[in-house]
Amino acid sequence: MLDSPRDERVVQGVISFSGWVLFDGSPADRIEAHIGGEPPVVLRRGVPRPDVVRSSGAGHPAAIGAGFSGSVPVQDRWRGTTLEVVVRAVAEGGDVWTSPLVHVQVRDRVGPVDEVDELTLDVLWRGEEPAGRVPGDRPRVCVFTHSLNLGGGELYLQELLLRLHREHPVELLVVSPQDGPLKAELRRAGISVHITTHHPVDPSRYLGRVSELMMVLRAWGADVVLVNTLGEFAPVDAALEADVPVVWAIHESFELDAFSDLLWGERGLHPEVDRRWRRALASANTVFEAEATLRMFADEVPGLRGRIIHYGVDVAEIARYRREHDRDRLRADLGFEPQHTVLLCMGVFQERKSQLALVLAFARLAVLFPDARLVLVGDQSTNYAAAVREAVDGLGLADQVHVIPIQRDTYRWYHAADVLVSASDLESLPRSVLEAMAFGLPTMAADVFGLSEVIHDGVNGWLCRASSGNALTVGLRRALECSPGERQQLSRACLDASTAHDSAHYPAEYFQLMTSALATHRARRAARG
Amino acid sequence: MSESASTEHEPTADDPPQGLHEGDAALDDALRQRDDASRAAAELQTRVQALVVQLDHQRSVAANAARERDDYGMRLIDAEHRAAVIPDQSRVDELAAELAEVRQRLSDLEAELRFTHGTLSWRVTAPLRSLRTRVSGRNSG
Repeated sequence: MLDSPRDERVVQGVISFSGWVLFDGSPADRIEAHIGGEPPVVLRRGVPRPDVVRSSGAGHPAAIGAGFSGSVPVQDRWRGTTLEVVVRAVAEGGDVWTSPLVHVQVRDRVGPVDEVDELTLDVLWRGEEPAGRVPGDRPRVCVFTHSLNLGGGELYLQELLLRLHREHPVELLVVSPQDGPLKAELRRAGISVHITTHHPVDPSRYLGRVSELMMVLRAWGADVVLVNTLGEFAPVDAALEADVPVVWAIHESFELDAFSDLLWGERGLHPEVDRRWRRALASANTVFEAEATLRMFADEVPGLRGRIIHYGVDVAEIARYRREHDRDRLRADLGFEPQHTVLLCMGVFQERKSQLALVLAFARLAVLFPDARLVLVGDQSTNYAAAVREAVDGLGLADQVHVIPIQRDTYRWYHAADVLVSASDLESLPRSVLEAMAFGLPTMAADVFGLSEVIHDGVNGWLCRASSGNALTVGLRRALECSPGERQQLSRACLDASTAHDSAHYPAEYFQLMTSALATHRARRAARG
Repeated sequence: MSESASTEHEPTADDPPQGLHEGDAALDDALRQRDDASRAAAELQTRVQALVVQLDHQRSVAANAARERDDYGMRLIDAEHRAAVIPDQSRVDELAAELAEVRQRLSDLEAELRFTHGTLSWRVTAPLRSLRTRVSGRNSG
């Protein structure tokens, strides 16, 4: 059943797909959108459809993951045309379902509306730098992040800030629109934290917010601005307007139109705000963690000043943890027996992380590998997480699949596990993979963006094709079938490779990037007089 | 030899100064260097394009092998499921033979994939990527 796009739909930024497919009660192996004569685009599978479960009765518990979704950014060559679109699903055994043909009209981009002429950025404060400061003594870094919760992007920043604060002469102020458990940790370390509201994106309030942020930067005397994640572009805009050098860490591997659709809906940003977002991307010093992601952005943003900084985890601390904690006792405490093979999936429950697809794949193997245990850490109170729990119960997997809430202390799970699993269909380079490597855990991962930069199939883990139920199932089987001796070999390769991802390096690289950006900026200002 | 044919004569106000001659020579040299560099860049670009085509071909070979591996993997899982619940002892041998055949094909495909992955690994393709960066940098610069 194809819910979207409907026939004769008019689109501008993206073509949104959604629907569901079941083959004899089982979700499809692979689902593709065929748009005009273009190469097919793989859609996300394993999307929760509780409505399908209800309509199919209790007979098909796997129906909970029958849904599919996807956003395909509109190509410029499609504008002004009507496209023929179908969705094609392939079953595990090779059967094919094709949706009815629908026509999608792609309209031209809407030009700036009249209102844009009235949009002006007001500079609210023209004061001098705060008195008594010696510029260059300890650079003041004003940090903007999207949240202080326990997510990969947040922990990336946390590690960076704590190390910058400890090891480099900087003053830090962290500004976040979303509070979370990381705030207390930052404050305990002596880092100032300010909680504010989300940055609006409607044009007049957006520009008002940029003016306010400029005022904050000037009043605090920020020398450099550090921004975390792609959606936080208002502070980047403010830094550029306030003539403060800015470094922007981008973890997301989305095409810009798809990201805009996800965050701001199908209508996207107002053209003027969108223009400022893209200008910010081209003007800031952008930092990426995977070469594949940098390449994707370089293709989309002309003049991108991007670079790679390989981030890392605290390898020494993890080694200490492994030495100080008895693994056998820990496994027993967590309810695992010696013969169990523990597969760990670490990450906040969300569609792009594909925990539901993982449960469905594991269900195919549970009988064949009765000693296999799947631990999903990252449960939260969302509809998606509820669907994952429902699938575990409905498929009778409660003995073999453990669902664990989000938590700060994740080391014990890594230490107790045998293999890490990453089923994500969209991921730059997950922190969990680097942590797992430092624990000597091989990873079985869907091969997206930066994963193949750190995982070498058969050497320190396994890679499988993304967005395919068959590939995920076979990948899990390969990991489960691995003998203890082979796994030990992979584990050694992980430990060897993990030293290259030690967090001792990346704060120094950030510090160097920020201070050199500051030095260049000051030299330019001096030359201008 | 008449005087007018002589190559040496007193400098006049209309003669270009010596510095200008040297400047012309330097300019010629610079233009030659620029042409040489353009030719080298074009050759490099052609090589990169050829390598990209080769790489794309290797990628599609790897993708096909992976798909085939996964199909066999699913056949194996299916056969294992049937073997796990088989009530009829007489079919055990038949299934065991099927399992052995699928396992062998799977193992061949995995070896093939390991080889292809090796040729596509980031370490192996690093020179190509750096070449591409250099060429695109040159073009944009």
